[in-house]
Amino acid sequence: MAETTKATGKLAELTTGPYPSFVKEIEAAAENNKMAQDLIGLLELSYNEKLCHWKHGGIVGVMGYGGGVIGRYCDEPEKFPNVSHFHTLRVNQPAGWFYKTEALRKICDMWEVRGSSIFNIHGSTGDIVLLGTTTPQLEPVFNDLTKMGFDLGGSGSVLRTPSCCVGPARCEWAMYDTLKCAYEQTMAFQDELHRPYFPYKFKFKFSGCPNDCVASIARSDMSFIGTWKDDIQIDKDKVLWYAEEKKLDIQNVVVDRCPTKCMAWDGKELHIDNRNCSRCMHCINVMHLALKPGKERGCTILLGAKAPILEGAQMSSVLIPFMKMEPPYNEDEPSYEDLPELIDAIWELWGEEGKNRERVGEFIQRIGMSNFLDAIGLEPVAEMVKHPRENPYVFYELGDDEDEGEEE
Amino acid sequence: MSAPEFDGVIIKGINIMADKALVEQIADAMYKMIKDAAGQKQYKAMDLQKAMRELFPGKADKKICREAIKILITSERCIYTYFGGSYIELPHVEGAANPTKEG
Ligand code: HEM
Ligand code: HEM
Ligand code: SF4
Ligand code: SF4
Repeated sequence: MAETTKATGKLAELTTGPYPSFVKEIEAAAENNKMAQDLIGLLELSYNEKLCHWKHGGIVGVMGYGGGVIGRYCDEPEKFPNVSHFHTLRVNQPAGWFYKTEALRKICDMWEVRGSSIFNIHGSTGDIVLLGTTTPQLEPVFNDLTKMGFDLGGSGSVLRTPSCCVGPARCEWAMYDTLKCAYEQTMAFQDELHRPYFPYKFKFKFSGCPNDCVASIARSDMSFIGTWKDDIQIDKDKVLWYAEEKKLDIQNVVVDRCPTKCMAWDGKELHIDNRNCSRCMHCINVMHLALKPGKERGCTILLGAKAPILEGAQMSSVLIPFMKMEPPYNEDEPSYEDLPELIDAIWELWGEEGKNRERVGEFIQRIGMSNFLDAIGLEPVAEMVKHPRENPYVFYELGDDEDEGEEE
Repeated sequence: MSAPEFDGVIIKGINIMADKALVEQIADAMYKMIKDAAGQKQYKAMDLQKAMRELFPGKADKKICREAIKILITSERCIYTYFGGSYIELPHVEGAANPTKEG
C-alpha cells in the first residue's frame, strides 16, 4: 500500500470549507504517522462505498481495568494494515479541563509514537479521547500516562468519568464549586469507575448554574446544576441604565421571554415574582450587570438523562430540588454530606433490580417514580413533577401501604 | 506489567484480610460458574454476586464479592469484556481481532 498523505475524492471535499477540518488534521498527522496514512485510505473507501469498515472489539483493555479502552478493528486489514487495530482510549481529564502546556505536550509526544497521533479534546464524555492504537501498545500507553499523572476514564458498564464546567475557576455564575465536586466524586468512586458493576453506564455531570455548560441535563444520568433559593438580586439603577443608555427593550427581550412569565416591567422598575421563577438564568444572562442570582446557593440534583439506545432520548428530572453544597449545613435540608448515601441508595437499587443495559432513567420509568422514591427513601415533593398530568382520571389509593416496600 | 499480589486491604472499614480465605473461596466458585457457562452464557458482576449470595448465604456481601472479582481479574484467570454491556469471562482471543505486525 502506497503512503497516502492527501485525501482525494469525497473526503478531500471536507478540506475545502471555511470550518476546521478533521481531514486536514489527519493529513497533517499522516506526514509522520503510518496509522494516519491508512486512516485516510480507509475513510476514502468508506466515503466512496458508503459503508463502515470498522468492527467492534469487546475484549481489549489494560490489566485490572474493565473500562477506558474501546476496542476497534478494521475489516480490511490486508489493504490497510496500519489501522488493522484502531483502539480508542479515554483519559480522565482534570476537573474543568485545565492543563499546563507541558502536560499536553507530553501526551502529544507519547501519542505520536504509540498511536495514530490523532486525539480529541474534549468530547461529550469529557475525557481526552486518544484515537487509534494497537493492542500491544495499550499497556505501554497506560504506563506512560500513569507516569504523567493521568489515569484512564470510564467506558462500558461503569461510572463514566465525572465531568464539570469551569465553574468558580473562571465563571461568576458558579453557584457551587463544580471542580471540587467532580474531583471528589472521581476520587471517591475509583472502583466504580474502573470495574464494571452496573447494569449499564452511569454518568455524573456538574454545572455551576442553570446555563448548564456541560449539558448535564441531557447528557448525564445524575445531573448537578447550580441554583439559588432566595430572590434574584436587582440593581435598580443598572436596570434603568440598560433601558436608557443601552436601549435594551426590556419588555421584549427579557420580560416576554421569561419562561414562567413571572416578571413585569413598567418602564421604570422591574418586578420579579420569585416564587414563580424557575431559575432559568435568562434574565440574568441578558442583564448581567443589573441582575444577579440570590445569595442562598446550592444545587439541584436531577436524574435520568440518556441518549436514545434502548428507549428514546430523555432529559433528567428533579430528584433533590436543593442541596446545600458547603457548610454551614442545616439539619432539615439535604447537604453535600448526604450525597454519598444518596448515590449509594440509587446504585444499590438499580444494581440489584436494573435489567442488563437499562439506564437508571429507563429503570425509573419501568418501576415508576413513586416506587423508586420509596425504595431509596425519599419523600415525593412538588418539584419532582416533570409535567402536569394530561389524564383527567385521577385515582387515589386509600389502603395502607405499610406492608409494601419491606424488602430485605 | 505483572499481576499484583493480593495482600488484603481495608475497604470502607471492613478488614478483607480477615476474610481472605472466604474471598478466595468465593473467587473459586465464581470462576467455576464462569467456566461452566463459557461459550453459552455471559455473566455480569451483579449476576455473579447474586449467585454467590445463594451459595454462601449471609456471607457473600457486596464488598467481598467485589474483592473476589478483583482477584479473578488481577490473577488473569478472567477478563472484563464488552459486548453492549460489560461482562466477566475467561480470557479468549476475540473473533474480531486482526493480527498486528507487533504481535
Ligand atoms: C475505529 C473506528 C471508530 C469507531 C468504531 C468509533 C466509535 C466510537 C464510539 C463507540 C464512541 C463513543 C460514543 C459514546 O460515548 O457514546 C466514539 C466517540 C467518538 N469518536 Fe469514534 N470511533 C471510531 C473512530 C473515530 C475516528 C477516526 C474519529 C475522528 C478522527 C472519531 C471521533 C470520535 C469522537 C470525537 C468521539 C466523541 C468522544 C467523546 O465524546 O468522548 N472516532 N466513537
Ligand atoms: C459545518 C460544519 C460543522 C458544524 C455546523 C458543526 C457544529 C457542531 C455543533 C453545534 C456542535 C455541538 C457543540 C456543543 O454544543 O457542544 C459540534 C460538536 C462537535 N463537532 Fe462539529 N460542526 C461542524 C463540523 C465539524 C467537523 C468537520 C468536525 C471534525 C473535525 C467536528 C467535530 C466536532 C466534535 C468532536 C464535536 C464535539 C462532540 C461532542 O460533544 O462529543 N465538527 N459541532
Ligand atoms: S454552567 Fe454556569 S457556572 Fe458553569 S461555566 Fe456555564 S455559566 Fe458558568
Ligand atoms: S431566571 Fe428565568 S424564570 Fe427566573 S425571572 Fe429570570 S427569566 Fe424568569
